[in-house]
Amino acid sequence: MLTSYMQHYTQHMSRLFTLTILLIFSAAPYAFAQNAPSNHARVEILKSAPYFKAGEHYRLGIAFEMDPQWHIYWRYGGESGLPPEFMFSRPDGLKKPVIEWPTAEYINYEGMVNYGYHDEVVLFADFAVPADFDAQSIDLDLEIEWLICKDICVPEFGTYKVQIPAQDATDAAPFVKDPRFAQYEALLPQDFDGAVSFAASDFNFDIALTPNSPELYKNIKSAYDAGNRVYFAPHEWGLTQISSEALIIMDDGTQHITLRYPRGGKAYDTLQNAQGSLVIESAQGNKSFILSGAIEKTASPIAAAQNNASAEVIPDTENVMQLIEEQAPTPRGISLGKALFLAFIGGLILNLMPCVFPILSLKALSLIKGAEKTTQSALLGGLSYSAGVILSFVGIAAVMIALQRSGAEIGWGFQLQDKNVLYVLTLLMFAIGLSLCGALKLEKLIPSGLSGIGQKHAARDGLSGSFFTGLLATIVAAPCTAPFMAGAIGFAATQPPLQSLSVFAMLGVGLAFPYLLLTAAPPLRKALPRPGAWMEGFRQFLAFPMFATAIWLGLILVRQDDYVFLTPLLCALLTLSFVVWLFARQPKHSITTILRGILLILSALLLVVIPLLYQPSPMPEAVSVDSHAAMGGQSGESANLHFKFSQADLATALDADKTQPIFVYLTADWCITCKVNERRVLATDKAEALFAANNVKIFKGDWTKQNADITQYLTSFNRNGVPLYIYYGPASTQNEMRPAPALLPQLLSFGDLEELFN
Amino acid sequence: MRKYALTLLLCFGLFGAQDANAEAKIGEAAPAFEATDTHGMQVKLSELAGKIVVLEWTNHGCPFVVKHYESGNMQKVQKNLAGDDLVWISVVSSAEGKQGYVSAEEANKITAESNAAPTHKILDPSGEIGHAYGAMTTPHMYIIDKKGTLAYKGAIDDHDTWRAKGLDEATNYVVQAVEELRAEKTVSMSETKPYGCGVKY
Repeated sequence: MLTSYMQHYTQHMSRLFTLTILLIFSAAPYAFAQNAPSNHARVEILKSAPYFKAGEHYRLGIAFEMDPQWHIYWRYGGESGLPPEFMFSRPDGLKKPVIEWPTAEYINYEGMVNYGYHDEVVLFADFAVPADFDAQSIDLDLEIEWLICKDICVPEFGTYKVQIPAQDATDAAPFVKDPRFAQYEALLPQDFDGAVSFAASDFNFDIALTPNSPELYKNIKSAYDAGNRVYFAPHEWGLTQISSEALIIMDDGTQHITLRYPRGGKAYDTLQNAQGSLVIESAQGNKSFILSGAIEKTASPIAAAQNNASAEVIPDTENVMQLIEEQAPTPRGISLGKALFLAFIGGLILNLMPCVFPILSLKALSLIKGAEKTTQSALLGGLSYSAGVILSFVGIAAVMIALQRSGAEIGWGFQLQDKNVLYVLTLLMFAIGLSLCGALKLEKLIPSGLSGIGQKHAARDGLSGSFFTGLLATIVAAPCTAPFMAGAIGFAATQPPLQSLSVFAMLGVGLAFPYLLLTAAPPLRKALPRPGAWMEGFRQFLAFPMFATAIWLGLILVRQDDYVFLTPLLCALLTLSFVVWLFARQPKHSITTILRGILLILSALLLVVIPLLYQPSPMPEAVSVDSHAAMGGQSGESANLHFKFSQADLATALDADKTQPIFVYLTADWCITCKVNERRVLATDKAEALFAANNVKIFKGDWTKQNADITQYLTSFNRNGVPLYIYYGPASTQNEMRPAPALLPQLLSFGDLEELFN
Repeated sequence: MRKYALTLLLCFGLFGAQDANAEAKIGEAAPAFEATDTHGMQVKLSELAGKIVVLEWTNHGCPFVVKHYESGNMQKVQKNLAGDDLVWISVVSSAEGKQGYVSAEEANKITAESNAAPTHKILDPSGEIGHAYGAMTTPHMYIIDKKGTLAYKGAIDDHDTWRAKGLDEATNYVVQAVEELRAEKTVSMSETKPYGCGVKY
């Protein structure tokens, strides 16, 4: 293997060396005429027609047939490589031809992105034959040099002679057009039928497109929605960082398409015009459109300073945040690998959430106590815990996907939009809290659930117990996932089920990992603190995060219906605590035992009946109190700027007064990030004043409960959860068109808002 | 709890960004590295403060590198720029089994035979240094100023072909940038399009 590689390698090297020497010292490249020293590509010149006609175009095809896995490069090779070069010696009066490049392949070599062609391609040389061109034939000498690469690169070249007779020449030889000609002509880029604009800012390069026909928009959108790569391939270096995937926004309403890339390396001052291709990949064959135009510059002084290498710029925190947000991975902008990685990290972080931490701590306590004495049983416990976590994540995700497939407009976090799920979760948290306090030995409430702390069942129920703890951990962790996992979950939702499920499974792996590590590594277990009386106190303390979680979930529940459910919920909690008290009793007489049994059954029934007795309010839409306006405490006038979100109203508003900026924000009560943003930024007097000063219309959408309209709108931005902040700027005076909507970071700062109006 | 969530969000956000950002940037501190050169000498970037450091990514099998060495151009640049205030480090990031991968002895032999004069030659088969700088091509040039800030990255010159013809008229960005740094002027072209073969990571 190695020897054969070495031989191969040496062969290349000597060939390369000879070639280079020949190239450098040979004054007469024609020495190679017709016999190209090519080893990896064979070139053939194809004619489009037997004759040329004066005053018309004549196209030559230059067909490359390459060894398997070798490739040549497109007009811009990408992060390495070099396009082929053509040198024509041609008759007087005939201008240099235009080289035409069929749509290239996206080649990712070890993380480097190149544009090129594998196996076979036909490039074209288009001659505009002048009307007064009167020669009997066009005689061309064509010299081609190309760089061809696999894992190594080899320069090759060849010279070719072509004769194209004039139309009236008497040559009756039958002409058969090579089928490859048409095949690759079909891959040539088209002109983009629509408006194109380019904008360069401090960190970004934006390509904004508005197709003229709804059909073109639909074609691009559907290819993209089907998971195909849609990208901008610049025709030169330095506009965009081509190895980054674009943040793509497609707005069905306005039919705007925006691609945002990190800006490339070209100096800011030298940016003037951009040219590139919009490539749309699909199984039926890739398509591309040529885009060109002037670059609008929107940079703040940072960019100018950054280009000035001598100036030392220390970005302040605000800028760093902006940088992060600008470069933050986006749902569709990340690869599966990255989504898996993010999911894993997200899962790790979940371990620290107030609702999950107590459960994990309990498991750790049981380890300390030595319930799982041998290394083997500890590891088995860890594995079954992990299995519980991962399977339940996959389970929830599978339910979500199944519901989505059946047409339900739901997203991740959907379980928190369901009243019954919330009800059960609130009770469950409350019960766990009570038992942690010592009101009840936990194993009685959930017989095998947390048997790790009980001594009796530890041996017998250890494995299933661990499995159910895993399940429990997921159930309590699920509410906390959405805000953290927007990227990965958003990505997952746009993928085929298998990829999607693997992202969720990875989230589970992350959640299970710390405990698994603890059980799998005896040295780590040795480092745990010694068992002692402190454990009881610590366990009791853990009740409080559980109560806090119960309050949080209960609040979401009652707010869904404007606090109507508050009384039934509190009664349910009372009943539950009664049940717990009953459980803890150890009756001595048979009568009390029977009484206890009857009361238990009644109470349990009551718990089930409470949510059933309660009827949801008949008009939930009507109670959409604008809590935003209420919170701000601003004057009545600016309150007029607040509206309840609906796609229809938004569309009307966007068209009604194009000079009025519009800000859309989507939130939900159970979304911590949303609430943080509202408290810190949106609901402050400062923000209110800013919006009022700029006469901004505000649309607020509340996704606390399921709302198909909002889900649809979220999807149009490739989001699957809240928060979402969108700003529609006022139309420019020249073309009366609003700029593409701006997507604000999920973690908002006041600076982000200010920047909108600067 | 809110603060708690916010802190976590921040951690998470930073994670994502760092990942997307693994490339040396003009005007920022050049990524630190420490390595043993092909003669067994320790090279540590932080200890080279006060000197201009030129990093040259190379692969002796790449036609673009061959162009610069066969024509004597790279050696000429090295000699012209040589001085007490400048350290020239050639870096080979080819992975084992890939084109350009060499042992220290082979590397020294290549250097001697081509009559090249880098201060150090570093073998980076793991690609660690290459990835830290975001080196794409061979040759790919980086210049670090005396304060340790990245002052230039990109091509060696504007002659982006593997042919030696026309090399004499090319503008050499590296010479230009080093001269500007020595004259304590701003580097006029601080980033250019790197050209060449891909680095064989």
